[in-house]
Amino acid sequence: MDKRKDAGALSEAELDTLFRASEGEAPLPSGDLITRIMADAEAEQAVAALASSAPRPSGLAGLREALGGWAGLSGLAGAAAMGLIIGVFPPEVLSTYSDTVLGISSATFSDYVPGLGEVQLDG
Amino acid sequence: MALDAMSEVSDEALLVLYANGDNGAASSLTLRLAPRIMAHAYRMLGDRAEAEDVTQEAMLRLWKIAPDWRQGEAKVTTWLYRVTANLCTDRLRKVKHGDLDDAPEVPDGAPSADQKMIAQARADALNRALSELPERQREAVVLRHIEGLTNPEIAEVMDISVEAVESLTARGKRSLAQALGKRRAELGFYDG
Repeated sequence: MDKRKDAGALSEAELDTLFRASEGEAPLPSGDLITRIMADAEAEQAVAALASSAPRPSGLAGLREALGGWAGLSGLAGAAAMGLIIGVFPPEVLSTYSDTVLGISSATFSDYVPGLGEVQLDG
Repeated sequence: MALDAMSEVSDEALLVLYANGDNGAASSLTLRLAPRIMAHAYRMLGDRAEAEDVTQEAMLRLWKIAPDWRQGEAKVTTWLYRVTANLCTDRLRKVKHGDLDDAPEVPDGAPSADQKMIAQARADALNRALSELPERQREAVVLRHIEGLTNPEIAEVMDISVEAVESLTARGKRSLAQALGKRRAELGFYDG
């Protein structure tokens, strides 16, 4: 800014004088404010300490928690067992198993869509 | 660690000590930073009670971020000025500023021969003129010419370019010079 560029305006030096005067004039924090800030600091320290000292599950317990607790673990075990059965036994055995044990007979898609056979035959 | 021994320790190191459970570090940081935050908030808001609330909130945010502070990324003071500026902006938007009744009063009458009275009058006049500047200009001028931050530091605090900082401070100073020029005699400045 040019010195006294604007008529009546303060010069750069005069403005600097005001800035310097302002440096020491801002109010200082009261004792009460310092006490409140320190109380916040201690409270946050306690929260952080509590969070870092909370016991974390380890080993099988940790795995169980990661998988969603007992419900998640039992679902995973069931799915794994079924996968093993499907992989080990040949299709014929599974078909017999479903017929005799589960009472589900082999079915084709047309069994669930009445009239589909006729349509195909007609076409 | 004793307070005396912490006078040479950086803000960042103190913050790490605090995060590790050192109470003395919290005291040192509070005594070192709270006055600067308070002064900046007061100059932005023109109200002591509001400035105290902002100072407490800004320091609380510092305590909360301490465990996750990423060293070497930003200066603690820069981060704090930024938080303070945001808190002040929020308050200024809630309570539309510009009410001169809230600004510190400049004593009436002829300037006193007492240098302390003149200094007080000058500071009060400057605060009043600052409160009439657009918010961003006020923030840039206060940070540059009263808090003494560098332009790159201010750019980081305000999240703008250095050129934008220069533009804001230049316009702010020009407005201040014109507004305060009308009260030249009252402030103890005489022509000639």
